[in-house]
Amino acid sequence: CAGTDRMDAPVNAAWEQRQQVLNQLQEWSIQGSLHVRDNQDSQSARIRWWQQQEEFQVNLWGTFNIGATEISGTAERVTVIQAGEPPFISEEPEMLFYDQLGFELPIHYLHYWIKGAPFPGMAAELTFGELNQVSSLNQNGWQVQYLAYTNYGLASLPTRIRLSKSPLRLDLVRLNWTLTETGDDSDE
Amino acid sequence: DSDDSRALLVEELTALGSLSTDVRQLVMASSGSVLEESQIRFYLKRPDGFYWETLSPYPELIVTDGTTLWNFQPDLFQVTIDDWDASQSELAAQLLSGQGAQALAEYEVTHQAIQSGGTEYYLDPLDPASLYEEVTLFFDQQGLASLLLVSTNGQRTFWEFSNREFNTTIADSQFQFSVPDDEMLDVLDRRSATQAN
Repeated sequence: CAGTDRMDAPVNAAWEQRQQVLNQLQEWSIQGSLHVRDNQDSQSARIRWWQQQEEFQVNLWGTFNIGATEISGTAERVTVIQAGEPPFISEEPEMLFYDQLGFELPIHYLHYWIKGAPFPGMAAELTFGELNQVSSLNQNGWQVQYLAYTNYGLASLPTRIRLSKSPLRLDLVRLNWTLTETGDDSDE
Repeated sequence: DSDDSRALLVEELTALGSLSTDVRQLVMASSGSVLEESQIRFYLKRPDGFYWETLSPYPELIVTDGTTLWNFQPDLFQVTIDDWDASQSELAAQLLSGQGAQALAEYEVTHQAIQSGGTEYYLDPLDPASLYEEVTLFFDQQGLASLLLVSTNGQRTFWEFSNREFNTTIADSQFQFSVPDDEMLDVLDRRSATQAN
């Protein structure tokens, strides 16, 4: 299979080209399940992430609407609104929301990791599978493993991801992507 | 006044001995946009039998007999087994199963007859820290027809029941789950050790 050489400096032109496609993908939404496990507990929720340029909204909900959570904002400012709680606003982009959610959710970085790409302009260790798809990525203290990809025409995108930062493990599974062509305003 | 409405609603819920029904569930963001629509098969048997099987867009079974709670996600090869604690159960589950009366004590209840026949009940929480802004139950002539949960962050869950069968006999075995013996399965048994058989 393709080499799994460690990639500190991007030497692989094909990966360079794929990374550009992924970074240009600025309008998308994903639906799936999020399973959270640390050494005491595990919980799961449905997740819908909507992204348009810098703006995003992440909704989390459990069966019977338990844990209904809406996280929305831009890189500069994020608002978390949870059932039964007053809204929480943060201007710290690297916020991990541990106090709000009960687990760390690195949204600022996940905005790129979820597409199968490292956060730009930061050191990252990458290993590759076939078709220049990242199979695992270490960045900013997190390990991100890409366990499945699906081809969505514009790009092949991860549909099963495991983020780990001991003792926490976040599994994003059953991911279903909806992509919007950016740049051309043709509305099919 | 609120007590009469509450008494009427308790009466309607108590008359709900068992239910087997299809459920169309809509989860909506605070903006009203639909986050997800799912198809569910639901069985209820007073006081403790609760079977909630999501058929689409993903497969998940949640079932309890009042003692044990199973959660089975076949496409993820995952089963979690927990002790069932009715007091921990979520409001909607409490309303539909045996704990309706106690749960309703924390709500102001009003009701209104609907022209097309049937009655709508509105629950407004007395507890300011409640997770809900409002809960609405609609009963048509046949019985419970829909339920709307509005969370304080504006997110909503709407259940619409169809092909309903009220108070038919449902075997207790409907609310038992036997873990398939398949070595691919990741079984997480979190019951207190004494019970694990």
